Amino acid sequence: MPNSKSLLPVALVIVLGGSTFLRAQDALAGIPPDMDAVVTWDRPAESVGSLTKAPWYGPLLQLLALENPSAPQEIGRFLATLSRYNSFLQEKIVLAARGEGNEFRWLAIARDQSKLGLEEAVTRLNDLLNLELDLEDVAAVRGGRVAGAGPGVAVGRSRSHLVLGATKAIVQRALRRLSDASSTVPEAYRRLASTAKGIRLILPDGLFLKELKSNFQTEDADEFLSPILLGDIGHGLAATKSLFAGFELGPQPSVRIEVDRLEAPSAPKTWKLGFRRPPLLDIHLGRDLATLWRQRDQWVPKAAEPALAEFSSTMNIFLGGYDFDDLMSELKPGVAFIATLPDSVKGPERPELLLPSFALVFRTKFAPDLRDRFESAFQTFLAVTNANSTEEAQQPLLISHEKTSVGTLCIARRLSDPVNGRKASEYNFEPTLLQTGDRLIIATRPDLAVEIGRLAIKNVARQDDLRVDGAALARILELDRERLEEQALVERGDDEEGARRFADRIIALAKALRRLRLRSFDEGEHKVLSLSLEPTKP
Amino acid sequence: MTHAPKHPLLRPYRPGTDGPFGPEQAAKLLRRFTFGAPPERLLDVASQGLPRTLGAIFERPPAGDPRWKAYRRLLTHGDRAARRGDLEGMQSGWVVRMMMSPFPLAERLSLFWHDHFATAASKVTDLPAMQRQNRLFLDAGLGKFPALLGAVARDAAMLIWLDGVTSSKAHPNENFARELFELFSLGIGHYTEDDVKECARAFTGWRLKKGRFHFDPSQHDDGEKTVLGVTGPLKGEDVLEILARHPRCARFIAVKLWTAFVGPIEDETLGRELGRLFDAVKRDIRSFLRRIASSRGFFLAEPLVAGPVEFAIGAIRGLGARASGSRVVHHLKRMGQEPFNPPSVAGWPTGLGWITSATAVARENFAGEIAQGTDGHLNLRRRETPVDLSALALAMTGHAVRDPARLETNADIFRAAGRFVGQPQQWIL
Repeated sequence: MPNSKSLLPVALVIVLGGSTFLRAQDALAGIPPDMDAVVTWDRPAESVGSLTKAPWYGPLLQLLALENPSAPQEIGRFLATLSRYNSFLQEKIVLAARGEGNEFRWLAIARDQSKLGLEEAVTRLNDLLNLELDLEDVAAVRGGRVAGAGPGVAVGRSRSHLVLGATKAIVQRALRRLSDASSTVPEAYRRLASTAKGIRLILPDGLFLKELKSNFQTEDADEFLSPILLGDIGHGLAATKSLFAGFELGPQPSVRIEVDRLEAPSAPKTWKLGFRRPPLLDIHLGRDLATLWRQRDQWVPKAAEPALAEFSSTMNIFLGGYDFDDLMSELKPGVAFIATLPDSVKGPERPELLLPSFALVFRTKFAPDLRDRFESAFQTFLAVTNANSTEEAQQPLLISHEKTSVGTLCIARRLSDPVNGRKASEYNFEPTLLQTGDRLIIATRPDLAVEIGRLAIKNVARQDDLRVDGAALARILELDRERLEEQALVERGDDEEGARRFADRIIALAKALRRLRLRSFDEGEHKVLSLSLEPTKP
Repeated sequence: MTHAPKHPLLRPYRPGTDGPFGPEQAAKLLRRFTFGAPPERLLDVASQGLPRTLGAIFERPPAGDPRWKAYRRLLTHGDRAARRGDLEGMQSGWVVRMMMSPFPLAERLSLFWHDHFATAASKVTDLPAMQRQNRLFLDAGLGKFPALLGAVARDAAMLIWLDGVTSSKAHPNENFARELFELFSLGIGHYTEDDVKECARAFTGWRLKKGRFHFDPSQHDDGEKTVLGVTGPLKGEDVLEILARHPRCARFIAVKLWTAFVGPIEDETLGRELGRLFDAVKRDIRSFLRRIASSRGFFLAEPLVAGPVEFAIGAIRGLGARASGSRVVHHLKRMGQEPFNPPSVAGWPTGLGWITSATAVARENFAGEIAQGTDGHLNLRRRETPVDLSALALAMTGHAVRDPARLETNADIFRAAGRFVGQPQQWIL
């Protein structure tokens, strides 16, 4: 991990901070193997200072201040508190928890080289963290001494470690494991021990992971997308035996989540487009849509099935009698979604909201009538768009064909209306269909369809990849600044000055981000989900 | 020549002789005609006497006033929301306009006419037409009533709402004609069924083309008709002209305005006098309102139950705060008054009709969010200026309390305001 930095929730700092915690690398050995969740936190020594120097820190703080004017002071106080304990925290500390019925057991272990006795160590802990732990029933046990320290807290001390836990029994168990020379770090925690710095979490197959899985098995079928997105994730999680997550909050914040190999119904090769300049948004999903659709009963929650059936029959209507299931079966693995800055922002009817240009790219199996089917759906789409148009001044969208070097474009354009003296709108919306090679491109602008049509396709290892370009995002926010300010006036109830400040800060935050990248790929035995934020260099 | 009303309640209020004019009286004027004002403005206005207070309410700030700039952006926001079919955006935009308008009387009147000519987006569905109707009430709501009535009759949303667009020579639709007499101009008992039928024929051919009013002569019945005693080949314009001169129309509108801004009328003579007064000011709405606002009747009138919009916007204006428009709309729906969606052609309830067990809870919840201030979903913001508790009470409730406590922080002010707004005895104007 390069330059990992981390920030810990206050609660954890309060429970575990202190000069007595030194070199706790081995503390994992004290954690019983049946815990449901284990968190390690590495010392945040440099991270507090470097956080405040990160390019995104200033704009983010200003943005938070818009919601809560005292936020910068509160965050400043939190960081100052963290700095205070920084000098004491020099190695990894470990927190573990286990759910037993309605009970919740927790345990915290840190190596303590202070050589202080149990009583002195607790006194010092109280002084440092302003706690009121009061020792009762001190007893000698195997591996050290243990005592109750107030409701729901017990403290233990071995020659090398300080242990806090919910009960004396769990503390005693940890002390025993720490003193046992044959006690090893359980396999499930091994990855926590091998990674350095940051906050790391592992959920073995226990209560917490089950809870997480059940939360993803959504029963809410109101939103059409939720069964597709969450259902798929839920299906993937169902086969998960453990989950590992890492968080870093340094100058380049990142999140990494690993699960054991998913038995997802897709195992396709995917492909990649090579844009010369980065588009605003570039998403590649290595999903086998045909297989996913065919096996939908395996991953879609029961409650969402009617919504999916309704979608399927609606699509049959859109396709003018062609079967949507047949169409799905003719898609090859891989789908891409591209967004670029609007190509056209001028003209007599400049759109109110400057939307990016979008394109959706599929790969197909060269079915001879595939293009006809898509054109049929395209026609229905235009008819619905024309019927629902609330723009009185706009002409209806009509289809025209245009030959280019990459294929014949099927474009929907608004025609001019010479009778009523109206020119065709210069609008950033001319839906276009292009089939070239095995690619089917549906774009909101013909030039974007052609640009994608010309790009070479390279096969790459299977992975999902989402990239957002900060500069392009900032540019489109600038173009839509007026709308952003209006939104702040109405939705937030800002005055003009406040609305301007709001827009300034949102744009500054976008400018501070060079790139955001979310990837999902296989690494050895694991499926990895990685989110990284790359700030602009100051 | 100035009309001198005979009815004692319509005589001008003389401060000192008829009663005092102080902060409580100024608060009553501002709360009923402008949704209220923050404590400091209330005290400032009150100290200037009645004529100046009336000037502050009824005179439009000059076009160069910098506050108009943000206000105009809100109007544009509403137009855009309508074009993209975003009803919630239109509602939020209007609510924020009411909160921050430099000339709140116009907004108060646009709400009044929205209730009088009740038209709902749920049926009209053409949101740009609904937005244009809203702008019509804003622009013409303080002008001459005959002009307003004429514009409403040609309004696209109204033509859809009362089925004017489907009325043809062969099948005249009577919906608009009936409501024109019953709800918009005369009231029940002052027209006959034959008047309705003949009036419907006069308005045939009033259609829409590309969303705008269009007269289609091929669908107009140009035969002879008799409406309210006048006979001839009457057109829609002729019927509107008849109403513009009809004495009952003046009385009907004058009484409705008095009922909304002053209080109920039980005295037949007062109703007659109000009609005369409305005629005397040439049916000019602003002049009429100014006369009743300065009348003895206004200052002697009993409290009115505040409708949800008056209640919510009044609370926010009384605080001198700004709030999230969409969140205020959320509360208004629960209190029973969703802008752009009155429940029927007869408009919203009045008086105690506003208060049910459900809407009372909704008002309590709104008060709770006021008390949360910046931390609540309303996202309340105000300049951190200390306020005397007594002045805040006056702005929020219209009544003075004798408590010299000084509220230093916004959090304390929001908490106190929430307490005031949450008391049912304060849900009055």
